[in-house]
Amino acid sequence: MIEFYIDGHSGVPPYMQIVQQVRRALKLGLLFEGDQLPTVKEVVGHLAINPNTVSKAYRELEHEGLVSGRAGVGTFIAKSLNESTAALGPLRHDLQRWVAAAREAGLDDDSIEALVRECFRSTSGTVVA
Amino acid sequence: MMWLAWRQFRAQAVILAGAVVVFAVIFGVTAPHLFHVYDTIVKSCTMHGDCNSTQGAFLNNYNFYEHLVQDSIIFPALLGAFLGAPLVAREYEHDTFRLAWTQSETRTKWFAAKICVAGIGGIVAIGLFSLMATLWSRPWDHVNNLPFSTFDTRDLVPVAYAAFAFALGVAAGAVLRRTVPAMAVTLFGYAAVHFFFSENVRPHFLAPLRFVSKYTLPFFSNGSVVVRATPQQSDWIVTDQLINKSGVVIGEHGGVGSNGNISFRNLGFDRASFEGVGRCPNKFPAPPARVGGGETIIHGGPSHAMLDAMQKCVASFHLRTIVTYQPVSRFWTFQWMEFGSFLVLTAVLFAFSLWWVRRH
Amino acid sequence: MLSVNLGDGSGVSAVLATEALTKRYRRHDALSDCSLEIPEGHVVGLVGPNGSGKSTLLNLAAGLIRPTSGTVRVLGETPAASPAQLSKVGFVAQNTPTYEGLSVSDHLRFGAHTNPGWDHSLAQRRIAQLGLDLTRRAGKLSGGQRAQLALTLAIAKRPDVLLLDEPVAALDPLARREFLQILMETVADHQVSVILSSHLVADVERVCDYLVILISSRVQLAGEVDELLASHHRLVGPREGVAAAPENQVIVDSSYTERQATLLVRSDGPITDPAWIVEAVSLDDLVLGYMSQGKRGGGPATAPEIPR
Repeated sequence: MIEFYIDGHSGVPPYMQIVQQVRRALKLGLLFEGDQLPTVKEVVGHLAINPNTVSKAYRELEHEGLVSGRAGVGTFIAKSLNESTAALGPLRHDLQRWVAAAREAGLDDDSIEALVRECFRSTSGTVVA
Repeated sequence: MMWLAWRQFRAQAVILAGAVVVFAVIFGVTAPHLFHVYDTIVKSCTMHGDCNSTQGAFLNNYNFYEHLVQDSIIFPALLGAFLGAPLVAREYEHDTFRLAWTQSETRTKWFAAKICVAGIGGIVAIGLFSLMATLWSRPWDHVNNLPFSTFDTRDLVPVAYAAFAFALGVAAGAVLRRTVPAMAVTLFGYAAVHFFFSENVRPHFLAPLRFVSKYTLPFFSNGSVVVRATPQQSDWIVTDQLINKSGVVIGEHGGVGSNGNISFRNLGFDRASFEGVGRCPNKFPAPPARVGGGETIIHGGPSHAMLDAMQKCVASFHLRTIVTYQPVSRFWTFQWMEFGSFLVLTAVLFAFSLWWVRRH
Repeated sequence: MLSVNLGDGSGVSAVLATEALTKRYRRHDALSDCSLEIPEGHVVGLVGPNGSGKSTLLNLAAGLIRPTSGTVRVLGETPAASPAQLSKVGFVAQNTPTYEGLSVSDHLRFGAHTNPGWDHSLAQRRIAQLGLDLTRRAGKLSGGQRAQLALTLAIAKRPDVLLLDEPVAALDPLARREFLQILMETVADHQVSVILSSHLVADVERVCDYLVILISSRVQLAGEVDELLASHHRLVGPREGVAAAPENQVIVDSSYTERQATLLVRSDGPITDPAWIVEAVSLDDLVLGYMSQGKRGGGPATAPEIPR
């Protein structure tokens, strides 16, 4: 069983922190297919956070196909994250090349980060809308 | 809500019950001797003559306990201050009204439960006390023979006073929301209303009867005290006025002075006057005793000639006394009327308190 | 149970609906012209500085005080209109008052006697979980224990909505956490809606998914937390750029140096102007931004519309 925590100062929304913690646990091999996640009530009783936050995190994970909920029983890990890391290779390669190009153009790390974040925002805006 | 009301009243109920028991013991211990003395000595005094001193001694002997009963006139006020005033005020003070009013029962029910449990408890306690006091006081009352003088602490009215004082306490607590000020308002408010009632309302429940008589100097018992016959000793004299020939009121309380006397002054040179009434037209014989500088108040037995002269003088003034009184036969009517009046006031106060509590 | 919508526009599905709600005491307004419609199923955080009207709004919703004007409906009904309405609303007052002289078990008995829907086993479980001595008098409990007792009373009547007036303000951090844990478990178990007031934004951030900001007796902002966070940004840029701020943005709060401007803005669309550095805001920033705006007495020109 995994235990969540919430960092109140990270600026990351609480539901996203739970999603990230599940993903990380999968990557680190702490969770395997078939493992049960704590119930919403357990998480809530432990962290004193809004149940909707936990439900939202679990829905998000379910949407990603990482977990599946069984009514009346609980939420279980649906698959390990090993396969998806394979797809990361080419992306990482592309990004490394892009970062090198950005540095060559005279951008420092802070400017690159700001640029990336701005792109995130502009694209996520259009996708969501 | 009944449960809560009872649970909150529990401690006070124990105190009230304890007080009733204490008085029951006092009355229970003293009653046998009191009744025995009354039955054996006082009742039979007529046979031996000298009833006055026997009765006087009896009244004196039991004065302490009778004072206890007379002082119970403040019991309703205490009930109002200590039971009525905190009833709602304490809930405001401790903010617990927010707890009570947000359960699944209406404020009206909460209020009704509170006043029922505490009110009935307090009124029953006062009722029991009044019953014991009335029964215990019977011999004393019988000898005293002035039922209206002990009107406030006998029979029905203490129960209505208790209800009223309790309702006054509740209302003061609801409005002021503080226990201590509400207690003060209750004590003073009850005293004021009770005084107002006994002075200005009770005498006029029914129109008093009138008794007009020619004023004569009846007799002098030792000194200058004028004892004048009343309609009946046990009746309640409401007013006792002295009026002169032209119908002007020259004295209250059966005389000219505040103590109900008419003072005679010997002015010397065979002249005399009755103070506040006028100079005597007739001549007076010289007093047998000493003649002082200017004025002499008659002491001891005046001479016959002197008495005659005084009678003649008073007769020349054509004085009349007008006595208005409530006959003793109205005692129970008045008990019921006072009882009813205070219950009406009680109901008005409860209605007001409920309205206030629901509105604010 | 059949609930009747009295047809003034407040839907039955709204847990709290107010229209031009105003409460005036002798001289000052405790709440002015408050119009809100909070849907069911949320944990609502009512935040604002002391004296901003949070308590007044909750007491109006609990039916403890009456509005001077305007209307308030809780679950479609007038507060405290009937025993049935009262049974649907659990209320924990500020400083969690309890009867000093009554024991813990007396309080439970009180709850059982006055609430038809009383869940005795739930109440007993809670008390056992808290480790409270049933025979202990409420006057001898710690602040945290008393708050828990008051919450237990409010929960065990099985309400549809819980109204909590600064329930944790007086508690130490541990007691505060325990209180919120039990509250959140209850929400998870019984799908109860919650409206709680607090001036501790950190707590609100943890437990609330709906936010209402009250400042000097007026509602400044209301909406779901996620939406509010998504629609507010911090912009950092040159001072001259402020005049040219895009039309779809409303400036909530701003601070300036000689050259730089830092703005808190509410915007519906993405901000594309490259002159501005755009950053996400935390709930804390958001609340503080609105509070400092309220403090300056932000006029209608800068006050954002209240999303309904």
